[in-house]
Amino acid sequence: MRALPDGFNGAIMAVESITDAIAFLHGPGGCRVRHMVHSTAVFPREDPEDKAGYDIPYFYGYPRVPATYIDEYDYINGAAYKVSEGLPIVMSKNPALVVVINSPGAGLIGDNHEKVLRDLGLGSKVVCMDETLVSMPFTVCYGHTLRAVLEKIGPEKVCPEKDTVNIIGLTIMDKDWRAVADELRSLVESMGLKVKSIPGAGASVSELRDSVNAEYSIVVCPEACAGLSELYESYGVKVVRSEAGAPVGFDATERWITSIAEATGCDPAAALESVRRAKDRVYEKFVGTKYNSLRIKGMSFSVAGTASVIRPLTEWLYNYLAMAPVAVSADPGADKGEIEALKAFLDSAGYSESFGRGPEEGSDAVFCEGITAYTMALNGGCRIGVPIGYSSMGLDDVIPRPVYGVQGAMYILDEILHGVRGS
Amino acid sequence: MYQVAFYGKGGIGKSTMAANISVALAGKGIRVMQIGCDPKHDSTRLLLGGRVQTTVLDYVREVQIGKRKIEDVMMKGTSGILCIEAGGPEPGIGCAGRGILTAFDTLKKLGTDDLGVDMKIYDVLGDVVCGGFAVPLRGEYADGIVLVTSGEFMSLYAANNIMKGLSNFDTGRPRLVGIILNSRGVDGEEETVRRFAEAAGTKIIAVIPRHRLFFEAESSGHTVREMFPDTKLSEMIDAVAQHIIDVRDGKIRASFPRPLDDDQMSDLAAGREIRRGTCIGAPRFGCTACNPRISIKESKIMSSCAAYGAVAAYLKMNDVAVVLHGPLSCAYLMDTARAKAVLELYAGGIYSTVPNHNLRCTMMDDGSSIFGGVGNLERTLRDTVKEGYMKIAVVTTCMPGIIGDDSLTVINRVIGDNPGVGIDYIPADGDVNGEFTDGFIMAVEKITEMMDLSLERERGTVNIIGSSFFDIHSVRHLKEMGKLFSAFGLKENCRFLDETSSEAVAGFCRGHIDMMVNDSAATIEMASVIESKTGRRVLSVPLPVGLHDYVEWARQMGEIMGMEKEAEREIERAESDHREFIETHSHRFRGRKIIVMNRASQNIDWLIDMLIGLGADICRVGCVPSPRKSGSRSASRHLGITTLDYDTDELRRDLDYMDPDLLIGEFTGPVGNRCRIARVGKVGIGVLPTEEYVEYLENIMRLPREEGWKEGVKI
Repeated sequence: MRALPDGFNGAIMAVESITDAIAFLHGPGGCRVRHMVHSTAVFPREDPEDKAGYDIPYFYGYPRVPATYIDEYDYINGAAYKVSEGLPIVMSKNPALVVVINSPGAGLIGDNHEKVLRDLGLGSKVVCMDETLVSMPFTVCYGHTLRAVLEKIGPEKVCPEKDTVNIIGLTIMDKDWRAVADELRSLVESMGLKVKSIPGAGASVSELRDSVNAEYSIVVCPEACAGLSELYESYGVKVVRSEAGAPVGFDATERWITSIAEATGCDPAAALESVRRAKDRVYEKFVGTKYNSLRIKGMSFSVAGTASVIRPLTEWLYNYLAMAPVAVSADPGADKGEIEALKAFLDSAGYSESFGRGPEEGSDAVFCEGITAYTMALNGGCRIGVPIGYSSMGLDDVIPRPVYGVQGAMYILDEILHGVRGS
Repeated sequence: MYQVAFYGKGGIGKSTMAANISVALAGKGIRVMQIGCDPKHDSTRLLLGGRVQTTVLDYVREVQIGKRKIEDVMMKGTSGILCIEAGGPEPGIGCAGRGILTAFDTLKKLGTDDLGVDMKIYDVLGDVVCGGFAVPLRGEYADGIVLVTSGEFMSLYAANNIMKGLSNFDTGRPRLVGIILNSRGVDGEEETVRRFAEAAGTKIIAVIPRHRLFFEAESSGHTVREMFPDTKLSEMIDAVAQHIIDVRDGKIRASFPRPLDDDQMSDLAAGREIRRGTCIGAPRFGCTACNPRISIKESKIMSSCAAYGAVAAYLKMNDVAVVLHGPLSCAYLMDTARAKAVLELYAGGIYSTVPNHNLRCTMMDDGSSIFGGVGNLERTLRDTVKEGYMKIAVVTTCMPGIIGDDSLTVINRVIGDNPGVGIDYIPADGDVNGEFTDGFIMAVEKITEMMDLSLERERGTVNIIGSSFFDIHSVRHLKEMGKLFSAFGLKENCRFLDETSSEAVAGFCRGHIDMMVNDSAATIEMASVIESKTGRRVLSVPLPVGLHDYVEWARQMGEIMGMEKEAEREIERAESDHREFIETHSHRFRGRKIIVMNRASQNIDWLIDMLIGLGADICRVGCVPSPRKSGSRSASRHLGITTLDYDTDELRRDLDYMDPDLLIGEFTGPVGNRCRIARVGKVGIGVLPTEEYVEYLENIMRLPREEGWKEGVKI
């Protein structure tokens, strides 16, 4: 079984992506610890020297994802008293926003958070998420939570600022998301647009409030921002989405750039030039070591992940490297349009039967979340295991190795080239 | 908009009353929505002419967030009344309370407040038994509460409980509209209810007699108010509707409830004058008799859960599949941490078994928390059997534990259908049964049942017992352990529990000697489980760390193996080597001021021995209490110089006052860069790793106090 994060993980990580917000978990310590470790790993926000200030109840020495540590007594008797006691302590750290999130077990108790907020008079700075999002798709719930937060904090619509954009649909669980944010920002700015915010990937509460004043919202991964897109549209923000899916591989990255140019009327030349330069570099490498390209051509590959990511990746590996897509599997919560486009591509390429097959059956190269990819590579299920999914705890690199954008294409090619050595 | 909740004991006639009053309200020009909150979803039947509609909870099971529409769960009934049914699970399955929570949250998100309704009527199931059923009582929902009761004691008891619930959700404004007495025809009924109402600070707003017209109307799927509008009964119903309107408009005041205490209820039942009651105030559900908790300080702070411990134990067996009965988030969090560790060990050549992914999850979601998760469990178990696993462990998270899933019946059914397949059941229930170690031990108790007690011991074979094998998870540590063993002709039989299999566990009793990998509380507890299961004795001396332990261990091995002379020779060699080591390295430590800060559960006697031997000035040995486990062992031979319950505040004071050269501890951060810091990590087995640790300390004292990377951009 592939171990994928779910909607509960998504809700917490979405809140943790907001620079000055705190996810206050109404749940057991066991639920807290991994989220605390993971959110710190993918998005460190606090200075470790400040840890001493968190040696207080609910934080217990660690700044991230404070929790109510509910136990058997609380499941039976209710634990609203802990939310009531804990919120002022959490608020003492002066966050711009606290979002109370129920753990799977706490969701069954029925504690009345709204009453606690009323009693404490904390309405404007605290949002409660009463939904139970367990076992639902991570991406959908990440975007859903951001939307719910944005709705509740009250966006401030003043007037649209011309040539400003938000980049949406990027999560802090995406591999090397900071590098992606930097690259996409740079590509967009090279077109003469100004990036107002990147909701879900390091935006602050005030940036979120102000994000409705952007002229455009540019979609990276549609699954992670479906609800958010609707919300922006309701505020008159034009949502720009590439027909090629997420910017994965050179082709889709170019299409992503041209989609923005077509929607905004901006000049894409500089952005496209950066893709061209990267393609030139790859050409040199492949020409220089032609044996490698011969080794790659004809290799089979399996891919599993978010539909808008695996669709362009599949098309790119097929067209750019002449690799055979023998297993293509979309994670739950897939964008319908992406699935249709993916199926149409596989049909046209003569690989219809590959759709819906999981990577477990084995192939030359497997592209999916790190743990499955590495495990398969170690146990002989594939020759090359390339992580393209959500960050796996601790499996990180210093050199940026994202999946999206030009750097992402180079990373994927690097992994394939390294993997075919000696074959 | 005004919202009224009808509450009362099951079967007392709430739905009948609610539907009739909805029709009466609509007749007065009020735009009404009626929401049935009973899993049997028949509240609005009389408004829909007997038609059945999709319940909210069935709908959310089928339709994903973002694609839901209010029209799909709402029908227009008599007089344009908007009808919704929350729905819920079958009796005895799942959690109907959670269902109410989900239904209300969904309806709010679907915009029921934006439909131009003047009045919402909630028809709520039976008694307020949990937080879920109390949702309609919350301030954001019910502006008024109408109790429906008969004169029977159990019905009045339920009404009293509802008032307690109402007190719990006190909004500061009176909300109890009154009592509708739905007569059952028992003697003195009206008088009993009147006495109850007076004592509880409210009044009867209608006395509805038993009448054949109710039967006639309901038989044809309609209300009396609709079918027989010109009757006395309809007049009474209209009067209740008007009363509710008057309360809404402030012409009549609702009241604050004064629920009766047990003595008062006894007086009521006995027909006595009801004595003055004690103030029940705002009791908590389920625990009115004891002092409720008011602070997190009364909780045990657990940073892990028993389910994770049980999963971790079983995943150390390569041929066992673990089915985690719970949500995907739990499986993800448990698996990523473990899989990463296994991958690293395998890649480093420490693990010889090919890593596999043998954790499965029943993917419980909101729907299964409401309707029960046994279906998910059965599907997952059967799929796992199909994969070819003959040994499976089912571990429960908090969700099935709280909703009371009958997992055992499912397990027995699957076992019955699949001869030869063994399924262990570990009802850890998330953190309900404690933290990691508690779950680990629960699993160990089950796993020991795999041991074949009839096997004969094979001389010179060793079982190593431990909850964590990190101490020997490196090639060098493995080599060192191999050297220790080979000196006495020992070889490994079974690692309990580490990279093992059900076959190896079955052969545990073939082992000649049972030895602990360390003396942590968890390992000692494991050893005790094994002793009680097998009748064997586990050696009290664990695998040695440092010279002192090694001497003791070697003597014991010599004795067991009849190699006393060889043991003494080994000891002499080790002591001589160690003396030489100390002489070579003490110049870097002599007189250096050192503070050691350690967790209570970790034995660092070897470190203190070493620092004393090297001539260091040990200013403080502080022992940090373990918040997770009471009763963990503290560093034992050096208790005399150990400060127990040492915390970071004390440490900061010590740092200011003592100005040490080196701080050895397990933390980063709170002490800043006031002195050099070394970590006290997992060391390994034998004497050599402790000497290597000293070399690490020497390096720390020679290296820059602050690393250059800290000059990066401050967060």
